[in-house]
Amino acid sequence: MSLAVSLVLSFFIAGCYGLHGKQTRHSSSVVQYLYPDKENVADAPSIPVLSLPIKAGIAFVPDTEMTGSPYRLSEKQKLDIMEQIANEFAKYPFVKSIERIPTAYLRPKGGFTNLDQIRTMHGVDVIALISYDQVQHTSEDLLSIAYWTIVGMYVVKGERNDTNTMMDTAVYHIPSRKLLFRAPGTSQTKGSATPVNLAEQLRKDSFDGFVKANSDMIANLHAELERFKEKVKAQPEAYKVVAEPGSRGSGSLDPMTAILILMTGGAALWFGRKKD
Amino acid sequence: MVRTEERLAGAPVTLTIVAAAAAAQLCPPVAEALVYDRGAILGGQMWRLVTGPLAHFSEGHLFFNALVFAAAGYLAERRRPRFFAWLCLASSLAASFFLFFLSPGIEVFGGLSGIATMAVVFLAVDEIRAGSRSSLLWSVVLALTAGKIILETALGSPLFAAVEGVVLVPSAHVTGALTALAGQGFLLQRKAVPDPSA
Repeated sequence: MSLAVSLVLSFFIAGCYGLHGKQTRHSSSVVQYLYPDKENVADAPSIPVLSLPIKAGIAFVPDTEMTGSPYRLSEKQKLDIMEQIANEFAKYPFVKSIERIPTAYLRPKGGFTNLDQIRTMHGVDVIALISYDQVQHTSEDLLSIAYWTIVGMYVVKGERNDTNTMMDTAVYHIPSRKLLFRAPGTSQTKGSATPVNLAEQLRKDSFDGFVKANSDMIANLHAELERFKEKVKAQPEAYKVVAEPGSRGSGSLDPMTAILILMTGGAALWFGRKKD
Repeated sequence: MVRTEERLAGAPVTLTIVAAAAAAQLCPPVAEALVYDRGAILGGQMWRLVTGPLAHFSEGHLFFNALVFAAAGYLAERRRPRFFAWLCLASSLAASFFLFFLSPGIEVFGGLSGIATMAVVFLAVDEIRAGSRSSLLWSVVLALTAGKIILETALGSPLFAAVEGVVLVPSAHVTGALTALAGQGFLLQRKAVPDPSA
């Protein structure tokens, strides 16, 4: 219910900002993709069963807004950005593969039904959904953009010919509908265009904005992944982990148990001798 | 110095196992040749059923496993040298056969913790049966070990438990504990339990 109210509020805020000055906007939203109508907002996630090593997918959610923007990220540019993210996270030993999923496979407002289809087609249980919001201001007005993510709203100040970019990656476990973790990335490119080269410079700034925001987002994703690992350790009842065929297993005595056993055993020996 | 050497010589199996595990960690090709590898075992490399526990996936993984095994194994072996050697072999085989027949999803396995669990349980039960004056503390050791096994079996494998990308296999600890109890049962049945303090 609160998410539904927030959704309505975010559209209202975004709409208000759109009324001031001249700006071009280029965005996509995970919220609109996963929860296109209010009834689905109440989807209750279940306990995720993570099969190690994880086969993950990565995809851009479909565009939802193109206000006066002549630019849009091409499919090749999206694939390049996804490649960069995939290369960063494929290094982790618990990641088996990261499949880059072209945007054409994601239907606007497709929701989890669409993700279920992607899961079947690409054999992935976990998916990283990338959304973005880019605004370029070409008026003298001092403007702001409001970006709504799955967990909160970001407000960024903008000035003439500035390019403000916000990217956000939300990592979901598809079968359980559970958001595992998320991380944003932002960038602000100061306007240097003159009226002569305005269109060309704005186009260049647009792509540069995505590249910088992506680098910022990757750093934040690494940090969020570390936090997620700690969370899984601390809440084993909330995340179940199973071995997939082909996985590596080990017997391991954790430091806490090992020290407790050694201390108690040592005490037993010491007391035994002392009494003897 | 002489006393230390004598003491170490009193536990050759424990010393050999710890040294072999450390050598395997220092020399990755050796670890690859020793580790439990389901495909290689099916291909005829049967020694891996015994040597699997000697391989570890990180220094941290080796350190705590070897520390507990060295302490408990040294004491247990000093009490029953030959029998403890057979128990180490039985514990290793039990863990490997369990994985081979009941956990075919585990392709590669390593870690001394199963044998370390066997040594801890065997030593604690031996002390209690011998009427040690610190039986209560040995019971606490048993309870700690049992608690760990029950918790990890009930809650499943914590992700990134000891080594990233490696799933914790509680069955290794279960088979280790059961091997120790079976060993004690065997000794009891044969009535071959001389008083260790005698």
